[in-house]
Order: sequence, then C-alpha cells, then structure tokens
Amino acid sequence: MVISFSTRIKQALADPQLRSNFRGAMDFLRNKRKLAFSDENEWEALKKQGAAIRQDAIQRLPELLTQLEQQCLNNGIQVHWAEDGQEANHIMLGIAQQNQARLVIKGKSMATEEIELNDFLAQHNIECIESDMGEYIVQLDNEKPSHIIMPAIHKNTAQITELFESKLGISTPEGDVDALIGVGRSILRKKFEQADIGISGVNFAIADTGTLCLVENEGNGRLSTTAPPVHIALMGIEKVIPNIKALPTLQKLLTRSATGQHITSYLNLISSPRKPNELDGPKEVHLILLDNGRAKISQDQQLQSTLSCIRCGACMNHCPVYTRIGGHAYGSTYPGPIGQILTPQLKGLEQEGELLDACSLNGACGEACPVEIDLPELIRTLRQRRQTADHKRWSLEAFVWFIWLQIHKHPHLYLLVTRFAASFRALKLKTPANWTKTRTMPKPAKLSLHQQMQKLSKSKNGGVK
Amino acid sequence: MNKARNAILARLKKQTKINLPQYIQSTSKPSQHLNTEQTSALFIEKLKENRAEVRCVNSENWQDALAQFALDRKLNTWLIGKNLSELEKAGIALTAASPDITLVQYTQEYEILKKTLFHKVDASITLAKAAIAETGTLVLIPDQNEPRMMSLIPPVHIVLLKECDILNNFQQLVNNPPWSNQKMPSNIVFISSPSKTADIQQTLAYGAHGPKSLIVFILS
Repeated sequence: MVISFSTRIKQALADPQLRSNFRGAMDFLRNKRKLAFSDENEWEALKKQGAAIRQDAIQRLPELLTQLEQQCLNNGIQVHWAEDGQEANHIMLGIAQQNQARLVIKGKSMATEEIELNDFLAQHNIECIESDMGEYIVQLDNEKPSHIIMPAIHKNTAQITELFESKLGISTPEGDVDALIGVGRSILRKKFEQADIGISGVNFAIADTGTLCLVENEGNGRLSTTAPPVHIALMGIEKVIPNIKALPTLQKLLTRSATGQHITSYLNLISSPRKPNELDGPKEVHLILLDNGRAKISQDQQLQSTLSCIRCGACMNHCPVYTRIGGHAYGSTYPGPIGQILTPQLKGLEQEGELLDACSLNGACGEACPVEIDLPELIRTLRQRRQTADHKRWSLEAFVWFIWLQIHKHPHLYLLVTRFAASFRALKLKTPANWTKTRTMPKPAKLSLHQQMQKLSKSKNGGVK
Repeated sequence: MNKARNAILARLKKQTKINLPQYIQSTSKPSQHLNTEQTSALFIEKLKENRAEVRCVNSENWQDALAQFALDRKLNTWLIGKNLSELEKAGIALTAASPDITLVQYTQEYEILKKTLFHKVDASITLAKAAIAETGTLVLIPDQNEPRMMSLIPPVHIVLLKECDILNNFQQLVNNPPWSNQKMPSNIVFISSPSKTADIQQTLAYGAHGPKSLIVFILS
C-alpha cells in the first residue's frame, strides 16, 4: 500500500531521533557552507557567473550535446541516447549482457536512482553494489538516499554500528566511525577487484573535449570508473557545459555549496578508455544521455531554469520543511525544494503536485541556490498551474481569497477592516482546530501598523513625510 | 537508438529563447597577485589544512628524504612507474635504503598486476604536472608511465612536485593547461587530500577507499 505524503510527513515529525539527526546535519552543512562563502562579493560574482554559464548551456543544448557526442566518439567513448528510464536501463542491461557481467559496482549517482537501476538489474540477476559509503549504508538497510549529497544523513553512528552488526555480523566499538569506515573499505575493495562493470553519474560533461567530470571525496568514484573493464556513465542531458573554462566556477559553487569544501579530494576528468599503450583504466567507456522529461522542461520558458541545477543540495539544507521532515517523507528521488519542482515536472503535476504543498514560501532555497534558480518562484508557478489543472481549489477558499484581494486593493476598505478587527480584538473567535492545536491564535493589535506609524511620525515633531 | 537521439534533439530545438544575463568573466581574487614565495606558502598551508603532509626538498636530497620516509614508516613494498629519471632515482634510493624494501614496477597490464596492487603494495610515488595554491590541489596526468591506479590503490601515496609548477588558482590552470585541449589525456586527476568521507554522522574519516596518507615532496 502506498502511504500518502501527509501520512509520511506525520510519521517523520513524530520520530524524534530522525528529527534530531536532520537538525544536526543541516546545521553542520549550513555553517560549513557559510564559512566557505564568507566573502560576500566573491559569492555574488561566482553565483552570477555560474547562473550565466548554466543558462547559456541550457539554451544551446542541441548544439552542445551533438558536440559532446562527436568528441566522445572521437575519443573512443560510446554514446547512447535514452528517452526515459526504461530505455536507459535496457541500454545498461544490453552492455552488461554483452560483457557477461554478474557484478556491477556503482559510484554515487542520483540519475541511476532516478531510473531505479539497481532494482532493474537485480531482476536480471545482476548484482549492483553501491560503493559510496553513505549509499552502501542505505543499500544495506534496503532504503533509499534521504539526501542527494549525504545519502545516509538520517542515520547516526549508533544506528549504523547496529546495522553493520545485524547485516554484516561485524561489531565495531561504540561510536568508532573510523572502524565503521574500515569495514566498508575492506568489503568494497574486494568488490572493486571483482566487478565486471563500473557505473557512475556525471557532474559535468565538457562538450568541446568530450570529457566527463566527476567530483568526489572517497575515491570510490575513481575506483568504480577505473578498476572494472567496462565503465558506463549515466548523465541527464542538462549536465553538459561548453568548455573547460567553465569548470572552475562551477566546481567552486558545487563543492562549497554542497559540503563547504573549497575543493573535494578528487576531481576526475575522464576523456577516453584505456588506450593501446596504456596499462589500466576501463577498456570500454559508455556514456548514456538521459532525457526522461528534461527536454520537455527546456521548452517551457517559465520552468526552464529548473535545468540549471548542479545538484549541490544547498536548497534542501536551507529548507525549514526538509530539515524537519527529512528526505524520505517526500517519497521522490530528489527531495527538498529542487525535488518539489523537478519531480512534478518529470512525473506529472497530477501525480506529484502534492509535493508542492510542503513549502512555507520562506524563500531560503532561492537565496541558497548557487546558480540563481528562483526556486520559490518556480514553486509558485507550479502551484498556480496545479490549480488550473484538474485540481480546483474549494469554492470557499476561492471566495476567501477574493475577499482578501478586494480588501488589499482598496485602501479605505483596508483601513475599515483593520479598525474593525482592532475594536473587536477581545472577542474569542472559533478558530480552526488543526491550526491552533500546535500554535497560538494571534490577536489583532490595538493599533494597526499604519496607525502606529502615524502616531510615531506625529510624536517626532512633524515626522517624516 | 537514433530514434531516441532524434526525438530528444527535436524536442530541445523547440525551446523558446530567453534573454541571457551577461557572462561575467572570472572574479579577481587576492591570490592572483601573489609572488612565487607567497604562492608556495599558500599551497603548503592549504595542503596541510587538507590533511596532506608536506616535505620541502631540493634536487640533491629528495631521494634521501624519500628513503628516510620509507624507513620511518616501515613501508616495504613500493609501486613505481617506468622510464622516468626521477622515478628511477627514487627506486635506486629506496632499494639502497634497506634490504627489506622491494619495488613493484607498473610495467604490466592492470589485470596481471591486480592481486599485487590490492594486497601487496604499501606505497607509491608519482609525479604531479601542476598544482593549484588556492585549494592545495595536485594535478596528475596518468599515462603509460604512471598508470591511473598508482595514485589510487596504495594506502600511502607520495607525489613529487616541482615548486615552479605551482599556480595560483584553477582558472589560471585552465587558461594555460599543461595538456592539449585538442588531444585531452585519457585521464586527468586533481588530488587535494587523502581519500576521505563524512558520510557517517558528518564525522570526518580518512582512508575511505583510496590512499589513507598523501605526502607531497616539493622540489625547490
């Protein structure tokens, strides 16, 4: 049975451990990011550049993608195009079957989560093992990532220690993170040694050189793309950038926004499979270009900027709703603000429009976005479209907002209503129980803000006009 | 396959153009105005922040420093590349330092060497083609002499870097790269710290999947 979004939210809110895990993690990431962008002028300039680079690339997608394809082919990388997740999965399966693959090792990739690759390959008796520590932990517990950068952020050390003990039968000293990482390292190193295929995502693809850029700290991404004889990279078609000169700006924005790091341990640029005189690296490299609804988004002038996203996760780190309910409650591959605008566009407003309700329009996501995506505006746009689609609002709700509009449109009426509210402030009104259960009903002030300002300016001898 | 390609491209071509903001050229950072000495100092500071170890050496004594390092850390099996005079010198110095030290030369294909690489090797030494001071980053270009795995599988990774190859920032590097954009190398790796992770409750742990220690020998 599918649990509804509102039920999932209630469950998440009722879990104090989950809430404290997220609160701690979000505070940590926000502080680190703030420190990394302590120079306000630099932040503003970088952001402007980043936004310009991404918007330009989105506008030139047909040209850049064909250039990328041609350059990759010249470099010996095989290029595939996939309309949707199903097609991408079948391309993967085809390559796996050609190579008689049984074991696949994966670097962290949200695109493969989007197409639910692990489950698909498992149905065809191909084991797919996650090698990013966070992803490995999540996979071990049959869960999905709760954050796009830190997949296991919803668990604390004690919970992971317990998980390793129950699933792997390996006990580690309480609170010893190094020991846990050591366990993961030794198990996964064996897999890197044995794997038939390595699968990764792509952070940026450089069109004019046919180069795949991967950003990471652990080294699992490098191992996944170097050790197995075949490497398959899956990228959303929006991830292409024109040339390497655009990379420094985007790299700075991505890693600082994501984890507050000025650079990650590794930035890996792959342009070719193993050449005849080389001694290692995959013998085959495949690049799968995935549409899955993206081209349609690019046609929509109002929503196109959704594609500028570089998947840093800053919007969710700064979202008060995400911080409280966590990533799983959204029930979508991409949680938080970017998930709220992306998922309904990829899967349809009718099906996923509900996600848009989980927003207080506080605007924090828009301020945090390093490529200036106006997320609050996109959320509002999608909300409006949802209203005009099948989902009509109640007539009572529409009526209330009509009255609200009239009051705010006419100053005299506004004055009258505020005076009226102030004079009857002592009256106890019947309030919506759902709302006041967790909040105090506000009381109208004796004097409206307007009146207070008038009084203040009078008292300051004549005041400000 | 071509069907998907054509359909996707056709959809993309239908997009409506919007006015784009001006492309603003790279920001001027204070580090761009550093002299050579300040650049090295910044590079070393950043590397140390990233938990890499730094040794400043010169062309006469670096082999001795390397041999001493191997003895101090009891690193006995060393992976080295081939045919480069620096690496040959390193090999000679290491084997002369102790009879316990053996060299594994990466001269065969990975598949043949795999078991040794994963289970025997204690440390490796490779050369950096450039470095970025602003972030404490080493730029490696693996090739047939120094294959990709050399900087990835051994638990201890030593990088030899010439001081004159340190640049101020990333933008400088891409404006004047030590590779040809017409013929990109198969692989370029930017390394800024030992392998690490903070995936368990934001606690930083080193040696996630790659080297646990990164040591940079800067040749002045």
